[in-house]
Amino acid sequence: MGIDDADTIFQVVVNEQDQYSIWFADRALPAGWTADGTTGTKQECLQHIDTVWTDMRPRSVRERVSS
Amino acid sequence: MSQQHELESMTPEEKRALLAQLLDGSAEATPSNLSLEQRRLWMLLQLDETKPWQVSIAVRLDGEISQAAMQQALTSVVQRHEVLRATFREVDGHPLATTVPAVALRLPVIETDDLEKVVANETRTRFDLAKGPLVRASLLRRTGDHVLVLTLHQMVADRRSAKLLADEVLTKYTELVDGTAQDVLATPVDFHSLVTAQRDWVNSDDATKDVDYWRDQLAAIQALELPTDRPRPPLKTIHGSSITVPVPEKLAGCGSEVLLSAYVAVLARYSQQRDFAVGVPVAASWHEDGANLVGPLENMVPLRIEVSESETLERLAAQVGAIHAEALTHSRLSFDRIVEAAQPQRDLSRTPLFQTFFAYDEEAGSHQALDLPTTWTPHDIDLYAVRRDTGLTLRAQYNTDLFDQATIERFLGHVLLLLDEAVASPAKPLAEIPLLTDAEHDQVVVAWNATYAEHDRSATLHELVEKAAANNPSGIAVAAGDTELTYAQLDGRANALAAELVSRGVSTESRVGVLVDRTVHSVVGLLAVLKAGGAYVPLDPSYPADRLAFIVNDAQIEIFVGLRGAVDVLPKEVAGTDRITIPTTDVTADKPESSVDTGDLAYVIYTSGSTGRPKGVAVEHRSIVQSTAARSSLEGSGLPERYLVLAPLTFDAAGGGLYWTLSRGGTVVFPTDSEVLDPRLLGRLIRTRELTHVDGVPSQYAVLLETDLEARDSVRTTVVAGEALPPKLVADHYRVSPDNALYNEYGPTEASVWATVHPVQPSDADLPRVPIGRPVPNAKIYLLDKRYNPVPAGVPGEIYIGGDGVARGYVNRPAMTAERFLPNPFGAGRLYRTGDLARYQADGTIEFLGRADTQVKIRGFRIELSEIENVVLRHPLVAEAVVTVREDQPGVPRLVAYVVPVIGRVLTQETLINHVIGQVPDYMVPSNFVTLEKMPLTRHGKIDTNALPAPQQILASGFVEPANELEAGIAETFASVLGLQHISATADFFSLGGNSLLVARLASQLSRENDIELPIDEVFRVPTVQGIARVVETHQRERSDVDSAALYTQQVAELVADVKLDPSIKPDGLPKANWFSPKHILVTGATGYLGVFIAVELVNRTDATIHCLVRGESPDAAWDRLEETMRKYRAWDESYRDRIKVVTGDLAKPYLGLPKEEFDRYCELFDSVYHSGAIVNFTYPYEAMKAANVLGTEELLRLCTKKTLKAFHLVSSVDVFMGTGAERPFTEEDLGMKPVKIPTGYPRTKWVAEHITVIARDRGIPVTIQRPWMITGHTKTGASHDTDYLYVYLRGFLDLGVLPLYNDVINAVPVDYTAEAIVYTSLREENLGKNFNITNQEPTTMTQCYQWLRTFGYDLNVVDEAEARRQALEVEEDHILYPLTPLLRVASMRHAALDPDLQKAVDPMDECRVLTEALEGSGISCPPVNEQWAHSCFQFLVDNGYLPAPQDVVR
Repeated sequence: MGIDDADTIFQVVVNEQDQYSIWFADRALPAGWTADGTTGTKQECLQHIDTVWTDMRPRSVRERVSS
Repeated sequence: MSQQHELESMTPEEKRALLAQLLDGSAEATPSNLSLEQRRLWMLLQLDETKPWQVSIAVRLDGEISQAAMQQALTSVVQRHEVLRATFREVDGHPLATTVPAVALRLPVIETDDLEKVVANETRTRFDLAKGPLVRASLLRRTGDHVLVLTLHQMVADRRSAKLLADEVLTKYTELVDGTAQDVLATPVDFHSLVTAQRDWVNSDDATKDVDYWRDQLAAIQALELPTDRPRPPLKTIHGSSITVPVPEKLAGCGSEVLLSAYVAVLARYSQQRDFAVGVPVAASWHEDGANLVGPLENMVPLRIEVSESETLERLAAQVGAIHAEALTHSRLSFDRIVEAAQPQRDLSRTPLFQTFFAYDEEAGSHQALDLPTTWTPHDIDLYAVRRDTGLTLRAQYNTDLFDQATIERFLGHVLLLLDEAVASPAKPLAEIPLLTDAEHDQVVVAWNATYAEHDRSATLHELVEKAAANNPSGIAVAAGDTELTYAQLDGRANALAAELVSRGVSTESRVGVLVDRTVHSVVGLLAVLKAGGAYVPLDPSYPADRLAFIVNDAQIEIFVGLRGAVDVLPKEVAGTDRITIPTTDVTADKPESSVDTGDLAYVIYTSGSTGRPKGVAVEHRSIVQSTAARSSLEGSGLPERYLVLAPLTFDAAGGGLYWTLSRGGTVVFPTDSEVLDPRLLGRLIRTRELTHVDGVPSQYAVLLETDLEARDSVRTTVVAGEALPPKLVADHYRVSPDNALYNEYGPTEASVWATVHPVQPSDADLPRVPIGRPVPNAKIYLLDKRYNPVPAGVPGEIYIGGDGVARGYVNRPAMTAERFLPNPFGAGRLYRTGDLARYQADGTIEFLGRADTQVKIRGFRIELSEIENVVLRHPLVAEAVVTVREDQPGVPRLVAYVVPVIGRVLTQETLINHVIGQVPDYMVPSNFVTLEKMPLTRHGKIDTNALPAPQQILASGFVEPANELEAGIAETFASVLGLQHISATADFFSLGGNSLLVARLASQLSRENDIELPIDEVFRVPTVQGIARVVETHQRERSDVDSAALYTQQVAELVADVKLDPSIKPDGLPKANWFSPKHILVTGATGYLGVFIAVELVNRTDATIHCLVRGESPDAAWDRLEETMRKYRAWDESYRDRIKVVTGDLAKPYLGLPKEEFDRYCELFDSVYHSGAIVNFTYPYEAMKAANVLGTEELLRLCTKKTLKAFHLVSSVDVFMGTGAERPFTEEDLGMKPVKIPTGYPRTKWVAEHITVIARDRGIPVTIQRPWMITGHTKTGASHDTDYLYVYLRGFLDLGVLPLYNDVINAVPVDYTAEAIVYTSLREENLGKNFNITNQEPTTMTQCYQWLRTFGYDLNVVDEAEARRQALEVEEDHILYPLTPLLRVASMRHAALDPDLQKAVDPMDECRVLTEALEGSGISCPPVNEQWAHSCFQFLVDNGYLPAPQDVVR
């Protein structure tokens, strides 16, 4: 279940800046991150992130620009 | 009946017959009386006799002890076990055992409480294998009790036997004391029956099956690579120590398999390996009673274990149990046979197959064994789990050359920690068990990351610069070439440009392409973008169009900023983008309205991506502001007053110095392109600008240190980053600039320039690696394993970086960003995953270990290329080195070393191989060394490994014939030992099927045949016919040349004693004379053959007056001698009268024999000195020529360093090689201090004079050393040297009517070319400090000369060389050959170095590369030596009466 093992199951996580990352599915979430509900292999999670993380600006920047 | 008893009754003839049988038979068929285990140990003993292969046991005894009864018990037990009465000796490479009928074993009583001292003494005291007995006993009388200590040699006992013996002795003792003693029973089976049974079995099908089993089981096994505290010695050592820890009561129930599994799991963590072997002991199984027999019967087998960390410890233990059980069914095969079956690559730095051992001992019962101190140990680490009545303990024995005690203590702590966790939570996978104690976890995660430091977290990057500008408006902010910008100018222009950008719509998150170069204007551009609220993307206008287009599109650049010239020529691929020119004149403008937040994007820097497409790293203000603020931690060595920014602005490294300096009000200095390329110009820039700070990549800095030899005293801080810092560079740095602080920095662009820094200490030069230090202020470093768990100190982990410097991510790469920027479970923010490996030292300092994903493996060996590089770099003539793995032939990866020699020096492949061999294991010796003028660099100044050329000479796997008789003989021995037909001279003994047993035989045979002692480890080091031939030659040469090493050492000392130069001869502070357009030149030796032509060449090539130092009664007499000599050599011209003057003096006298005031006048007058003068005589002793040839050189150097500093050109001689037994090629390197042969006479004077000149050079005196080869006739006039010994020979032998037959190479170099080369090279600055060999790249041979003599008309009677010598030695005193008879008496006329076959093997370019390069473009080259030339030389000699005309020779 290493970080590079093909069969390790990850979950897609997001922080308060709307930045995406991956985290081990069987571990508690680090502070400041929430799960977006997707789990799968690293490849599957990263593919999901590629489709959902369309605006890579941090939330604070996005909000400041639009205000 | 054992074989031994038969031997004793054999006649000498019978013994010889048996020996012949022993020597010729295969190993299995050998009727040796040693067991296989004994033979293996015998082999090891031959490798190193100093190792204490013995085993001790100590047993505590209560109460009164009868010494007599103990002695009696001991004697009867030793008598009972035949093997304890054995002795061993070697007969023709084979060990033979002899058993004596009885052994008298003493039992000394020692009154002491110091058991440790007794045991240490036992370990030091060696057994005499040939004499025996191989068992010792002593009785310690301590306060309150006794201790019986038994020590046995491992040829006769193992650990198990020692306990057995102690048990038997004590049982017998009790019987004797109780009066119940019975007659001693014979052992149920004797040792030699077991040996016979073993030998029978070895030939059985069962044995074959076991061989197959182990071959399969151990296929491609890899060595366990535990991270060591010190570099692993290339030859394994056994220095050891041990630590014992009690196993807590709650874990005492763990069985042997669980303990072994916990051990293996921790080893896997430390090594980052999942698949390796651990050795375990196996009891003797040859006879049911074998277990009760004393003897070396214990075998070892490797347990190959694959550790899956997703399993629980329980599961692993079950697997280990199964593997162990299976191994036991194949454990009759002795360990050496298992090694042979598995054929691992030989590696003298490690034990084969396994490097760690585990044993579980139950010692509950009759006697109380005591723990003994360990002073040696066979493996890297061995773990003994010992269960006694008092409880379970773990004892780790470890090699003290590899590990510190603290490391092993930590290691044992980790084993117990893992056991504790696994026992408490049996369902937990191993991977879930952290190896850190809570305290260690806190230390690495928290304490070593306590980097919090205050700085203005609300500031933006440009505000840092604006603040400095407000404080110091007239200070110089940026300088490049002749252009300088003050802070006011920089800020004003940037404001104006920013306003323009805002007006064009640039705002938060806009990306602006800035076309950067090394002008001050680029900084205006960067700053303007920041002020406008956008993010800059620095781009090099010379990028290929498609790369530019890709970035423009990827970063969504809509507007470009640059100098007019650059924006105008942007390629059409980026059409459609807006373009603005950076103002290059002063404009005053207010800062435009823009609101910038610290979370906004500051810049995007593109780096090369592994996928081949560049990727943009997006960095926010807060990150680069943190990175810049953290620089204050380097200000102990001074503020960045004037900082040299060497990296291009497209590279994030440039940002480090740029913003540090601009935020502190200092001056950023950009070098010009030519200054970047030429380190000497760069050095000049540093001096003229008085720069205080310099940064760069280590390889760049190394070039600067090497080529710019003047001091750079203004520099107080030097920062290197970007690649590993070689320890040698540390030494070089502190040697030339001890007061200049050196920092080794580490950090990827993704962590905003830097993440760690190490203030480098001079002592770091001695480390295997220079650390990268600790995290910089507000940065965090986590070293994590594959499970994302922190690793403890000493264990490698991948570097993850946290803190404020972590970048936002990769532009337009959500997946890649998510993959590399991960949640931080230890604190806030994200961690950047670097892909770099590192480990903590015990104090938290971080050591960089390389890339996690580019680990190199060749033939199954993990190789640290940097390790080899560091070894190569230790050669004093190596300036830079890179080692890579090439696969030019598919499937055949090879290590290739690329080397840049120190300027002006030459290095041969052989020199380098000899240097590396012995410092690293054989598999790490590069197969090729390629010498380069300079390393190819990428645009960022890193070494461009892709551009390194393929080595031309590929060591083909083809067949190489033995080159000479010696090699042929060795090849034959290889063939007979291996049972093969033909052996290539380059084939590896082990890859041909050689093994440890065969190598012992090979060494023994080769030793006999060549009458030398060939150590076995030499065969391991160079296991080819060629390699061994070299070893044999070396040994033979050593023996024939000097009576002993001591004599040689003494002779070297005598030789070197004359290598000294008066300390007052030094260049310090002297004005430089006119070296390259001299007005007055001194030439010595102008009445000699070469000297004449040097003087003439100087007349023709310079405008100088040539002053010739000539001996003479009066100036007129001196002049006459000079003119006469010049006329004789057809070199005279009347016009020379105005150009040449004589100085009447004598080289052999102080101040050249000149009056003091005249000497002083010349000190002011001369610009340079050509020292060609010497007494040349091949029969005089050294002392007779020393005054002129050696002391004369010193006097001239004195002249060179008085009043002015003059250039000194020493004319040396090829005899510095010929007279010292040097091996060809004779390169243009400096001479070594230890010649193979101690030179005598003339060559000795030249050797010493060269070394003196080198001292002068190293003190800073401008010199060249010119080594003419065999100087021969002038190409235009045939003018030849009549007293050259070759012509003397010729004339003498012609007179005798015979010519000796020998075909030496004649490296004839025409005198005119020799003089031209000397004069041309000496007048060019770049040649100062160099050595030149003036050779002919197309030499001729003696045979060819004879042919020319025949065509000239001589009727030659060529006879055997010995016959010619015999006749020559009989000549009368008035014969021309007579003075040469002392030489002819002691030596052949042949010279080993002039062998024509050797000539073919030498690349002539290797002997004159420096000269050839120096003459490039000069039009000067060595003319061909041909018949026409030879005839003109002979004619000259005939005309001058030195040779008889052909028609006058009467036979």
